[in-house]
Amino acid sequence: MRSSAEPKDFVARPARVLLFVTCLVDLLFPEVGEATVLLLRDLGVPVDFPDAQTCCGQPAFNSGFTDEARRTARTLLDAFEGAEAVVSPSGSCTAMVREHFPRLFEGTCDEPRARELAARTYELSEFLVDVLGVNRVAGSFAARVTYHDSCHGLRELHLSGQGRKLLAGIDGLELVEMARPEQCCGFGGTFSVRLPEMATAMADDKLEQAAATGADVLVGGDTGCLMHLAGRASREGARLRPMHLAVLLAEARGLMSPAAAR
Amino acid sequence: MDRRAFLDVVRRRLAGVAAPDLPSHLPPTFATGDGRLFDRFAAALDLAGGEAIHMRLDELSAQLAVRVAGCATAVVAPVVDHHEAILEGLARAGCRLLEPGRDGAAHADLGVTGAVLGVAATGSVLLAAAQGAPRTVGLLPPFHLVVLPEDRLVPGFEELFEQMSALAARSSNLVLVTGPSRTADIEMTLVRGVHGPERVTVLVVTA
Amino acid sequence: MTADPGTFEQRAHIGLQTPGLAAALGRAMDYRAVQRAQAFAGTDEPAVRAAGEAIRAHTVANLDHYLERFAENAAARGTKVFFAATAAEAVEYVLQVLRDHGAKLVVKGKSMVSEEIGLNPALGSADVEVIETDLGEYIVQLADETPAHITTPAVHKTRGQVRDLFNRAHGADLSDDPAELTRFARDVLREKFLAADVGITGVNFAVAETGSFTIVTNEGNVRMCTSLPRVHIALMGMERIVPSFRELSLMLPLLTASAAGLGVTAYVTFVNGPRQPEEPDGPDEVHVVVLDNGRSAILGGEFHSILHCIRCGACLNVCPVFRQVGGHAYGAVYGGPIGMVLAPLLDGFDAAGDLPHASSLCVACTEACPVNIPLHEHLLGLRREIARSRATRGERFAFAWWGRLWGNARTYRWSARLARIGQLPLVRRRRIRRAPFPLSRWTSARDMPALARGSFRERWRRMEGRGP
Repeated sequence: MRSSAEPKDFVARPARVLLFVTCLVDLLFPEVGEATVLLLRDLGVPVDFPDAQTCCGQPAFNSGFTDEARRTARTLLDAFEGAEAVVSPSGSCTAMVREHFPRLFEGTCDEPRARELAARTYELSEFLVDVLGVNRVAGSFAARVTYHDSCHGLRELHLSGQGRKLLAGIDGLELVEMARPEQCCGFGGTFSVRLPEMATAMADDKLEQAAATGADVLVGGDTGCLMHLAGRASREGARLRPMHLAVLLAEARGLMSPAAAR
Repeated sequence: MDRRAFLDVVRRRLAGVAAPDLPSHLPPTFATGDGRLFDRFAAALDLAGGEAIHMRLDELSAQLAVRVAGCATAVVAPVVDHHEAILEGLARAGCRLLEPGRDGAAHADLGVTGAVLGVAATGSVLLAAAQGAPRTVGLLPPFHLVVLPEDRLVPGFEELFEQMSALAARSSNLVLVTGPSRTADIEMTLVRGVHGPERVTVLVVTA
Repeated sequence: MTADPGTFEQRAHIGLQTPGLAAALGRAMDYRAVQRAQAFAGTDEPAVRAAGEAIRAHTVANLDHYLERFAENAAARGTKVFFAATAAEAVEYVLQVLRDHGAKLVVKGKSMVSEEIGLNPALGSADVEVIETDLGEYIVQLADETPAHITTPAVHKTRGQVRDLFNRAHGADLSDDPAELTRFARDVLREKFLAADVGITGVNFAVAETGSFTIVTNEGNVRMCTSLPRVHIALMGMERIVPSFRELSLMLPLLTASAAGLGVTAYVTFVNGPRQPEEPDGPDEVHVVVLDNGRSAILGGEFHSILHCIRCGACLNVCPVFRQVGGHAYGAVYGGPIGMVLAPLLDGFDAAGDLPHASSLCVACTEACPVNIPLHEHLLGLRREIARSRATRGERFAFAWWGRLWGNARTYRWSARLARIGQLPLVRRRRIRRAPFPLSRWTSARDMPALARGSFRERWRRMEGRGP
């Protein structure tokens, strides 16, 4: 299953990267955006944030409202016009741009910009590993950690272990796999409120798997999933702490204090 | 609806639908093995819960007698390779022959048939309905014994299906049999012996 | 047969409250996952799937041609082929055949098409005894239910439940040992096979080149149904056809590997026609009913490739929603991902319009489909259709305003500020535990984070030294 747009290969690192922060991170989890910037700068990559961006349009798109999706998606075309590379701490938002923008704007005057953006947008972990060539993250984070593979990163972007690779070198971090890390957590955007009982049952399935590993922390690359799992964990009094990969890495490298991360 | 009208509806809906070509080359679906065909056949049949034994023709009746010990009654397909040796072996085992029709097959402990060919990759044998080959003989008794000349083994599905349209022209029914009948319908627990035979043995005979 | 009334949410609720159901489904699906991985090991899986996709695409795009060839070649062998435009036509044809033969007892192999046309109830009304002979279907029949899965109809039943069903139906005293239960079913059904007037089966693939068709099983019940009764009737969805035996050499293992992790099932039956004069046994008559029932309306349209489906059930076996509730929640003949696409197209949006939203769009189905049907794309396409013609006023309003407010950064920031103020009464220690509709649908079982005091944009300004 091929994506409709393959990101251009970079021979050398881009001179400058633009941050696609995503509406969820902007409004609910700003520490994830902050951690992303800190990590990229720590690796010597200049980062800018064009604030014309609002939302990739996924909620409307997944509900079949394509006109409305285009309205907000266009803010990304404006914000990232002429970008060398765009990086996002979200697999599903990156997939929206890479997989769905070309067809969403097909036949409109924005189609060329949409295709161009689709070819230059990266999810954070794939950018760090595949573009910047990061093999190891030096740092320390003493915890038992289990990984959740968010669906769109896994199946639309074909992420293949970049996140785990970044965790592998961290001192004190013990990675244990749950039984089915690739199984959907039940967030699915509007799905989580259209079918709340089902979404909750799916969250419980994942939290049970995580609990069985004895992990303190559940790490993933998508705040939607993490918000859904954290919301259920906190309601049920589970001690598992869902955490975004960017925040964990930033903490491990001492770029962010644990207090600022919350 | 009559055929013409039915297909006209289909044809109209397909107007303008691009039709890709059939692939000219089909990739293999089973790992192609090397080694003797019989060895591959026996290994595959074993995995499927059946058993294959290799023997010379002059060993057939003795070997058969050993395998069917305990079977009081048997039906034998009237047309089957090495018919005499089979009857001799059954006599040696004290196995009483019943009429190879539905009633006989329904009451027999054992059914003996030949096979059109065997497929090494999967451990399968192909049965064909034909004169002297009642379907019930390899279907109703709980133990199905197949006598197959070794030169009828083919490597895999590619070779099997190359012959199929010719075989289909000669027979109203063909069955590819791979081991005993089975089900996992109850809690995914594998149980052998459902409606078809629960024991399958193939005697592969060299001249 | 149309979908059940009620919503997916209501039916799923029943499933979610059924103890042991998710566990039974999970066990079955994990087992299938292992089997499937083993079956494809040692093959070039992408190449095999691409070939399967090409074969299906070519065949369905030329469907009229292949159906015509099939009908001609089958007729030349003495097989009677009937083209049924609707479910009613198909049922009437079957009933007529039964009447012509004075048939009173029918043995049946598994056939999803028979579920689609509502055959069993029609036979019952015509005073014909019909016995399901696939063990899973037999269990489901005794329980007076419909199949919960395309290839494993009783996947939702525990061994204890099967034991109780058998003991009640037959006045027996069996244990819950699957081997004992299976042996019992074998004996009961053996009598029926031997006494039956007519055998009815499905079709996995018809073969245009020779007018043959093929049916795969592990149990042997189809061998019985196609050999013992005088008459054999096969029911076939019109798209279930291959050009020749050459394509079958790939499609068969692709089907069985995807369905059950097997390179080949215990039995592959090839029916080439009624018994020939010199053959000692076999049916005197073979009928094939080719069913349209809404399939032709899908041809040539946006969802055309859904007709490439070979009914292997691989998509069900990986669906995280199916895992929780099984097939009955979908309220239609076909459940899981294939059902979410087919049911609205075959049964209409009134009956099944909420199914395309019964998915988190995790894409596992597309990933698993052996003929590369883009199932998640079809779900999105159906959602677009629903948004165009069936969205509630509330939803339309909500998204229209969302698009306006978030269509530029200024009103986006503004709406966020408003929301940050509006949420104040609800926030306790940076969490929202109770909220009004529609957010109550989240907070009924999960906490929500409060909107952050400072958005990322504000942190950014600070980081750039441009703000407080």
